[in-house]
Amino acid sequence: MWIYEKKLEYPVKIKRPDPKMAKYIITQYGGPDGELAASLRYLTQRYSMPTKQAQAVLNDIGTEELAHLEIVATMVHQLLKNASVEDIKAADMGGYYADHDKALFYVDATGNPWSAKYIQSKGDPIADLHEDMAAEQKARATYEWLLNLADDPDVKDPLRFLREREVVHFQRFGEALEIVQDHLASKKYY
Amino acid sequence: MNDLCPQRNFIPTVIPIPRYRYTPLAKSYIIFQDLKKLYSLEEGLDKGTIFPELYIPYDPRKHEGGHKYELF
Amino acid sequence: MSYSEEQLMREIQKVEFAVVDLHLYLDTHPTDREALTLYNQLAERLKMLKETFSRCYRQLVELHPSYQYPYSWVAGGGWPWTMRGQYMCEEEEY
Repeated sequence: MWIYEKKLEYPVKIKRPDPKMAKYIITQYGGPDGELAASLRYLTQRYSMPTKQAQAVLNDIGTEELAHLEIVATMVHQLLKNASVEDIKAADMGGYYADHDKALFYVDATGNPWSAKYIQSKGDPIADLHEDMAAEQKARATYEWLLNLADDPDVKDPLRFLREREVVHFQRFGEALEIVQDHLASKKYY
Repeated sequence: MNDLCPQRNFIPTVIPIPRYRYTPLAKSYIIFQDLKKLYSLEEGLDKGTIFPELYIPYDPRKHEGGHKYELF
Repeated sequence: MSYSEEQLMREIQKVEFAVVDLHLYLDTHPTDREALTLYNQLAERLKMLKETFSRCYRQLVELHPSYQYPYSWVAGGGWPWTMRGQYMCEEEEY
């Protein structure tokens, strides 16, 4: 089970509304390399991991990604909260507004809804861990492009934090891969 | 330029692999992290990791020039 | 020493983050005694800080005692996507 804690992993306090930035950042909420995809991918792959360490890594990173999902959602929410409809129209976010008002929905930066097609659960731990490492790199790159688009320090600080977490997760998946490869190599097949 | 294809002077070099065990091909290798000094709690939250050796911040200037692929 | 709600939350975020990062490290290094000792120290400190926060301000974690009436999980609000005001809480030193 999961137990909720009423706090963010990293503080988010955005004072200036910016619907344009909200439209870009929402891709890390419901986009192909976003936090929802990451979390659901790892949490569903954990059942077919062959070692205790790999199970722990998938479980715990999958859980941390939910905390990141909440950080991203908070950013989008605060960027939209006090934006006027005029600002939203000017930011080319009128289409999103027509469907969702300022509510949070799982879409990428161009409005495509989240899809399970973004993820895989192969039943082969080597293949799955390679996918996970690639996912961390793609998310890291997305945060870099978002940092290029951002100028408000209130927005950039949490983006930098989230980007660095991808680097750390990559290392942990890599170590889990080493452990799993060693484990499979030591097994005897007849 | 006579040849549109870039010259690939293949120099066979032995790349030292810093591992003590037999390293087969067609698989990935990741170096295990060893616990060293840690950042202060304040710095850790600020940077996104408490491990200095894993702190690899983004430098936008590297992106502006585009990626350079060097052929050997 | 007393912390405002925001200061105490920041303290909790700092300690909890270190615990999370060490926790992931231990997932792939379960026999690292030094890391385990550090993890235990920080987790103990985190427990204390959260306890203080719940007593002074509002319930932080589900399924834990609620120190105020009415049920502070609801009445205390403080959902993390909202920005809150602060009051001061006189509490023991750390």
